[in-house]
Amino acid sequence: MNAEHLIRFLKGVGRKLALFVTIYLIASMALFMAIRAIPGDPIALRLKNPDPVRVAKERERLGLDKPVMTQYVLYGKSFWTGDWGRSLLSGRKVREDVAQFFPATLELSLAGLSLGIIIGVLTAVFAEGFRSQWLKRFSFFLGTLGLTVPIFWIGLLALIVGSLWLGWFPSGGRFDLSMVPPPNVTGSLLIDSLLAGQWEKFWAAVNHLVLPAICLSLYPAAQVCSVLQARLQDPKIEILKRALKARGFGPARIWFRHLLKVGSAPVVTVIGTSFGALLGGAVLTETVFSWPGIGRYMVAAVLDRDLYVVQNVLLLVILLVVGVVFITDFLAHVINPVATKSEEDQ
Amino acid sequence: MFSLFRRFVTVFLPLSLLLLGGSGCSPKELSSKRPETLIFARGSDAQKLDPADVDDGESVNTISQICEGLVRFKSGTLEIEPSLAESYEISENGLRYTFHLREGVRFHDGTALTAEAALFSFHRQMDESHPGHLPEANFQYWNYLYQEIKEVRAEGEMTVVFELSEPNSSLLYSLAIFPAFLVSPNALETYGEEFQRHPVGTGPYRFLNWTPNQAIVMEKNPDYWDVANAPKFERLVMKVVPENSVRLLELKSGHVHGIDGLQPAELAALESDPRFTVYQRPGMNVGYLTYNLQDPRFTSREVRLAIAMAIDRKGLAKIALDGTGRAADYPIPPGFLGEPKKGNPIPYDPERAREILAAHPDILAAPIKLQVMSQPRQYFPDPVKAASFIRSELEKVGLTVTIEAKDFKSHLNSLRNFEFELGLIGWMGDNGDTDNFLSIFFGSWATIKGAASNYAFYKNDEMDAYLLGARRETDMAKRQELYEKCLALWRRDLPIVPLVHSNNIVVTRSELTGFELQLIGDLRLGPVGWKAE
Amino acid sequence: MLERLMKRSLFELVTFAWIALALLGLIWTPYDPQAQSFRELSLMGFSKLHWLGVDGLGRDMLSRVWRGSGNTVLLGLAASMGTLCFSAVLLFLEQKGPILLKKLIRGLVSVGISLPVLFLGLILLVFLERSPSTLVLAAALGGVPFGFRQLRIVWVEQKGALYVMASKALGSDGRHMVFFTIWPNIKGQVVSLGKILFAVGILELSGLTFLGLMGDPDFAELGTILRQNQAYLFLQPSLVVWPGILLSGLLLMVHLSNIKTKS
Repeated sequence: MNAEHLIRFLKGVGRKLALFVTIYLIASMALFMAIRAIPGDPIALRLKNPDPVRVAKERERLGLDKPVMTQYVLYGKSFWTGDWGRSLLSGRKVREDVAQFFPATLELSLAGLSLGIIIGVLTAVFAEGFRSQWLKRFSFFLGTLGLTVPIFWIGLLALIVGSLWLGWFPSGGRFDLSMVPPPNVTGSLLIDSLLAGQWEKFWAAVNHLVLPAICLSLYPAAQVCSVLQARLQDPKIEILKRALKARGFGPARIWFRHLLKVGSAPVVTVIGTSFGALLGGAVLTETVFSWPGIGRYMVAAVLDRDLYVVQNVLLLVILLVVGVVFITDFLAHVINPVATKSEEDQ
Repeated sequence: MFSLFRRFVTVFLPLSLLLLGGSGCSPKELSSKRPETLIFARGSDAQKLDPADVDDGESVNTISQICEGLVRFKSGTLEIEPSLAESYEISENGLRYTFHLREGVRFHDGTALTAEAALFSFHRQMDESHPGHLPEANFQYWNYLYQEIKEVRAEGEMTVVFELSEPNSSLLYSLAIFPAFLVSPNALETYGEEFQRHPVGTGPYRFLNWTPNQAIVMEKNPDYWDVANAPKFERLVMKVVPENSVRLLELKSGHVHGIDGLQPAELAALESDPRFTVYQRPGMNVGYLTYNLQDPRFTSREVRLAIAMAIDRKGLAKIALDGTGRAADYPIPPGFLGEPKKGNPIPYDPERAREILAAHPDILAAPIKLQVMSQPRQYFPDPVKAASFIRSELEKVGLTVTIEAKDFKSHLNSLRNFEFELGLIGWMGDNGDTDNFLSIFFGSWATIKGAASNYAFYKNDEMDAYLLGARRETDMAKRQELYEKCLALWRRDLPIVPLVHSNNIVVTRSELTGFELQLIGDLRLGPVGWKAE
Repeated sequence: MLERLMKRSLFELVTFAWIALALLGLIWTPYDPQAQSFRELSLMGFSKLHWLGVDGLGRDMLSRVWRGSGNTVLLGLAASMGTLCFSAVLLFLEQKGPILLKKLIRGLVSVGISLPVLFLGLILLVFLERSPSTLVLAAALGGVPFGFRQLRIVWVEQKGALYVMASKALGSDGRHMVFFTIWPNIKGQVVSLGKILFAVGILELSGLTFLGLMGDPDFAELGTILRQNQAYLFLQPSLVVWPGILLSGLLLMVHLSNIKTKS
């Protein structure tokens, strides 16, 4: 890497950081103002007999009587120090709630994402590798399915088939409650039960995960499949393929070692951009499958006007999505510097 | 080609295992053995587990397994029987209540139950400087059901005395419900800030852990004092399953053993199914329609009567509650003190209603806004369905109605601030006393803007006098007379239209025994066990 | 004339017919979709009088999903039009504004494209009432990053095109150029973009309404109907299956017709 490259690279990082800060400012201000624009006082709403004196006392305790600018600064300070206050409704610490619900959503999203990548990559590679009309049709079908069928409806159908008709899968929740859950280490029941070596619990967790993960996998599968397929159809790839064949490599080695590597950079970008969609989809999937994750928690908090949950968790999730996009952009750049050009460079 | 196939298998093997995981534990397997864990599923999670600072059914139903009060309702009735107090006396003038505590009872943390320990649960609510008077807690019931209590003190080791500022004939009942449950005084020290989420009581099950939005787990209290109702399960789990349909499926597949919040339409099929037992009895609640008397269009008594007569309450109970409730004639549940024995005060008469309304062009001129909450409450399992029904009834007599569904909190907020025209709402009784309904609905002291429970803004000195008189009166016959007068005034002025009393419904697997529905709607799982084989 | 009609792909015709039929549901349905006229038949399946059965409140299901399709299409159209307008304004700002604004807009769009509409909807719902207009606003704003990006591609392509330069050299003024020179050339692309936005908008809206964010739970719209009938998922699955089929079918047709126009 020469100096010119390094400078360009650093410039790129700087630009991303500046953008990140801008997004933080916009998002936090939007949330802050949205909360102050709530019709009706959220503090009075939670009291059974909200006489003005009590409401005033409560506002003082929560620091809502201070000037608006001070409140905004305090909000920023508390957000970054991780002191996210307590839910007005349950009195629980928001941070503890997030530590509780977020791993559940992450587990579900990652399961859906990995399943989606596996399905997407396999379909694309086999469709192109075998040049099979049927596989091509399937990949087309997959691409359309992921874009045209609402995820929650698939979820409902999956419940009818997998749970009511076949009876194979539980109709909701994350774990079989007649068992004691494995000791909490990572927050992911799959990993925790494996760490504890408790197979029965691992299967119980897998069993609960199957239906929601399949639903969630459709969108990334469709995205990955179409991007990878487009890449593999590139005439340059065709030349590379022939060259590799001429060297006497078997098809498995050609496809899975060489071509996939070339094709993976746009796939990584797609993974980054579909992470947000995945979280959005997780909100719906969690609702259908009673999955105790962050999505349901957020929706409930917004409808209940639960101040501290809304202003911290929503901001956190937004920044997280943005962060993941930046990181995957960066990764894609590292994997294949030529194939990726970020939006701003155009 | 072979290696390609091999790779295919290595990738697909985990996938197929994943799918096989599904057949790992089939429902039949679960129900054939008798688990030592009882799982009960409901629609939402508890909010807090501090008896003095909760008001939602899910929290109360969890606390009821863990904590107990000095007295309790005899199972399935509104009769008071001793609980943690072995006996009690009430002084002649009704100003002093004396409770003698049971010997040998211990809280789950080992603290012995003494008068001193019992005081903690009351003092922390009364005394703002008490360390247990947490700043984030509201103690909303204290000012509202127990406001006459002037002092609570210990007399000797095992006697607790309550001194009242004026008599309140419903206080003993109020002492049997959750805000008066006893918690261990040492729990505050042990759990600090988390005290409100870690209840320590004397009940049949003790708190183990709580995974929010998922489950609250309790375990057997092996030293439970009430041997006849000793817990039968090693563990008790209160599970959250938000969707009614999914919850029922969980019951059918054997993943849970009991549920509440049933989709009423499912009831008929369940009742004939030998695998399940359906418990159903009228709940202590009333769902009603309230007028806003500050709205000039509803100032006329005649208009209010006409609207009331236009609604087929029996049909409403049948459709909106799918037959799992009954039409309400009075603003108090059936069988309550003061309920007249005869007659239907508001007949269903759309013809007459149409005639009356024809004489009031102002009410017909513009659409009326009917406001309703979108989440189910006990009195309206499907409030929006009820609103849809009422809209079609009112439109039949010539009115035009628009429905505005809001989430419960916002709905309540606009009712409390009198920012509505017609409102659909209800009340769940707390302590089984008539005062707990009529004072809430009609007391002029309940019309403070922002905190009102008398949403109609009904003010009548005569009504106030009767209500306060009945509250102080200890003679049941005289109280009855006063409440009858209140109801006569209500019928004359009609600030609210009672619509339905909905049933409490719990469904369990039929192998379970010992369950009984409680009148005040709480859940007692302590005595529940498997039937002998 | 006939030839032109024949040239149009089959899918496009089906899509237009579908949308027209759905919109007809706004004016006429076999029964009143709100009237609870068949309470005694509630939750009944197929019958001669009620082809798709009767829902839990005694309303004819066919009428409900028909009107529902109409409303869904209408809301989707509103959302996609909104997106196009917002995107056009943003594009104008990006092209004419100062360099910093330019960079900011491009940066925000590159990030905004991966933020789910649902989150935007949630932020709006913090202070706005639950209503169709709030949801349409959320869906319209949510589509902007994608709409902007696609519009910009079209714009940049055309700006440097030879025929535009030629037209400029011939001395045509701004208005004439936009309407008679540029528009005929980009019409196809914009319509195709509109179709994608329409489909995406409907998909996003249905997600929001399925969460019960519509406000009026009786509102005949496919997502809301799905939400309301979810309670009967196991008792009468057809009440959930039909609205979903109609929703997916409509989106499928829009997609297929778009693929054909592209090729």
